[in-house]
Amino acid sequence: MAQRGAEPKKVIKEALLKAGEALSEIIERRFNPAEISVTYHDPLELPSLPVDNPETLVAAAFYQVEGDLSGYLLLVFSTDEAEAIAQAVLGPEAADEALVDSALGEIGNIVGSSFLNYLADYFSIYAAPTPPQVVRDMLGALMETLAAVAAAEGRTQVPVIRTTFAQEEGTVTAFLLWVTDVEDIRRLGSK
Amino acid sequence: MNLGNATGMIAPSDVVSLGLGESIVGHQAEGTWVIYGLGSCIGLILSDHVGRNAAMAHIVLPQSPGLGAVSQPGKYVDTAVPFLLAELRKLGSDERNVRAQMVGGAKMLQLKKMGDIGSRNIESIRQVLADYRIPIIAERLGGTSGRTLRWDRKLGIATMSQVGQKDVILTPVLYRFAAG
Repeated sequence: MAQRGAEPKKVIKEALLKAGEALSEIIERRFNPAEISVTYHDPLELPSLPVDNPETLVAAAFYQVEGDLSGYLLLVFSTDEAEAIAQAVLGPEAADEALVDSALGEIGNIVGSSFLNYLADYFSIYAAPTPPQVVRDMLGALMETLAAVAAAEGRTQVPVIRTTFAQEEGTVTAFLLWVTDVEDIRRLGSK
Repeated sequence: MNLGNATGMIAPSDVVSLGLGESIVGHQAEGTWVIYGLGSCIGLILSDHVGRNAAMAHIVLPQSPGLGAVSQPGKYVDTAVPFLLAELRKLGSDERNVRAQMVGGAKMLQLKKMGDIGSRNIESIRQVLADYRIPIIAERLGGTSGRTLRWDRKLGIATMSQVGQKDVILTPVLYRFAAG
């Protein structure tokens, strides 16, 4: 665990490493978080952040963050990778889409909880994800909806914490996004 | 705001993508305007098949803050419609020939805090178009899926794409552009 008093970004990065470990344990494949970033954006920029093509079809586990922190967590897979990961967890018979989605939701829950638990433990706060929603659609449309929410709340700056989970051979397989609030980052900084 | 192209200078292969809150207007020309991945937002096209002018906006929210002029009129329903109409008038369009086509307003995610922004956008756009007496000739609104909206500037045809479904031509034949 990071040394007490470490800056929030460093602790967030350690929390993402924990999330990567959780993902590796579930799927029994080694994932390394890469390209960890904490950046600030105009809400209207959100749809173009994760990928170049907003029509990219993904399977995403979506959570709202509750407690002393806020925002939205998205664990995003390509649809092919989602099927492969579900098979790794459920076995080769996992052809049913509802079963695959259920598995993705559970995986997302474990990864998201692992991330939030690390932050909660470090900063002595309470933070937990809501039950998962699994969505298969254009990533741009998902991000656009979060952008609209941020705009409706009158926010002009949205912190986005992002990491890519890559397998050891370098294949990018998933990424985790925490679209949060400036106040959350400040709150962590004041702890 | 991404405004321009009234002079038809866009190259034939040009595709202009509108981000959130952006809008565009122009006369019949080669090229395509597109809004990728519409979720709760509304993609609005106002077209005048007689004057062969069109305008498009990527609308994010139903209502502007109401604190004076907004920097991106295309961002809100209540500012986008009058703004696009005014821009079409500048190109010589008669308001009586303007028709609306729109896509979006989906409920992609169950959100605890802000409720259903998509539904509020839909309600608002229908009301504002009625206020301005603009007939709606095509719409694909609501649901839970993302959509992409394209406008073929030469043919005056709007097309909608959704994951796992065939593209749908929205514009009725009567309201498409004649050859320029």
